[in-house]
Amino acid sequence: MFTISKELQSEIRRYSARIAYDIRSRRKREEVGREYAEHLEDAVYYRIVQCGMEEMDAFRDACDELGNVTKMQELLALTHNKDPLPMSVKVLLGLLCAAVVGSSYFWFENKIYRAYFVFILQLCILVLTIVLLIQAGRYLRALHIRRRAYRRLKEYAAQNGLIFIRRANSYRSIFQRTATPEWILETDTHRYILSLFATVKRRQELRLTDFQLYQYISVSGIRNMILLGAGAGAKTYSITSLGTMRSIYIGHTFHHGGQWGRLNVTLKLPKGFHLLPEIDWSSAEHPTKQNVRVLLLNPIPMKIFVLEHGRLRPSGDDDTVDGMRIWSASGLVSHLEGVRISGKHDHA
Amino acid sequence: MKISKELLKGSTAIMILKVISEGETYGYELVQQLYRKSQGTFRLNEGTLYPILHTMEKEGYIESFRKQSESGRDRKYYRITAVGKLHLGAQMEEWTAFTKAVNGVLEGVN
Repeated sequence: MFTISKELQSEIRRYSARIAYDIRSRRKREEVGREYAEHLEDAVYYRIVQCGMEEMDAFRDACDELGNVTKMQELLALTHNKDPLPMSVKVLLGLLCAAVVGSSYFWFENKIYRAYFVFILQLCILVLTIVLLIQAGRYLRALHIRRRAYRRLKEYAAQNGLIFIRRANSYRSIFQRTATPEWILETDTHRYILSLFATVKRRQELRLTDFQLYQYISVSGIRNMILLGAGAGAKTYSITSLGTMRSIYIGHTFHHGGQWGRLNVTLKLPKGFHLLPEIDWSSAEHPTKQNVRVLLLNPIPMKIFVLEHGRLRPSGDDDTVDGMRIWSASGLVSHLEGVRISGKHDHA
Repeated sequence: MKISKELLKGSTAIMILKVISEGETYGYELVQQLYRKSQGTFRLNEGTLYPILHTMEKEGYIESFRKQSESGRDRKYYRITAVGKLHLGAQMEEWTAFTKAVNGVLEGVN
């Protein structure tokens, strides 16, 4: 029986494991990874025996035929990752807990009014504890995902002879926005400068806008925003077209009605919008290699949208926004792996 | 002739189920069979085949098991279930009605 070399078998296993990476259940992840590995083995075998290709050429061709890794990861995650509990079930469970806590008090106390008061107090404490635990759980999950991404990129760099540098605290950006790119991943020709951006809530949509704070002021109350671009000229956008608003206070010098003035106003952004952080890229740039600015979304949100030139469009892994590439950790590894396997020039 | 993605989207799952209904098969062989039966028209995007198979397995239309293939390698095979046969029958009826209606309009235009 024809067998492929151990090195190629190992490559196939790694590639397949990467495809199945986003499946949460370990058992399912291994099962699906194994299925893809077997598929690749068959595809490689066919190319070597029937078409006379060399092993690595056959492997590259088979991987090309398999398709976009990021797309496969998304589809598999959608298929295999369990849906969260419906809201009705959560409410029922909450009521059941409250009923158990409340009723247990009545077994020991006879004074009705005090009993009701304490019951309600206990209920509030229970609800508050649950909310705090859920919130803490979200951050713990984000920390775990960040740590996993860190290890993964570090291992990938070590396995493929790349340079991986940790420039700043890897976890701080989960709690507050940071201006310093935290990680650097370097190939022979490219330096990927990674600025980490976290979405803590699992089912959150992330909406990015390339607005810079200093470019927007509200002039006539709630109806319009004036955009001041570089140089002269002003455009107005209707705030109502951007949906529910949230306030940010800024001070800005502007030119309006032929005069310069200073206006301290409240700037309103649509609800849920995150301004792209002002990042100090220049401090991390390489003098000779091609520098790629990357906004690394980790944890990555369910959906990503970008508001550009007043229009909202869907975004995702491998997009470009405001001169930055948007990637998850898996997406970045897929891109690098694709470049490595194909041997083509990296157009990042 | 390259077929547009939108046309392919609606028919991929039924074609896969039909091929499986003709005999138990595994992923790579399924892709080859589809290619042969369509006389080279459908070159299925292999990576997206498995999410479709896994979804159908979750829905109970197919079931999987392991066995040795003709080449002697251990592979994960799929076969259609009774529920899958019923579903396939309904889908094929729907497809027939759909193509008949479309052809009726197109021939009418011609």
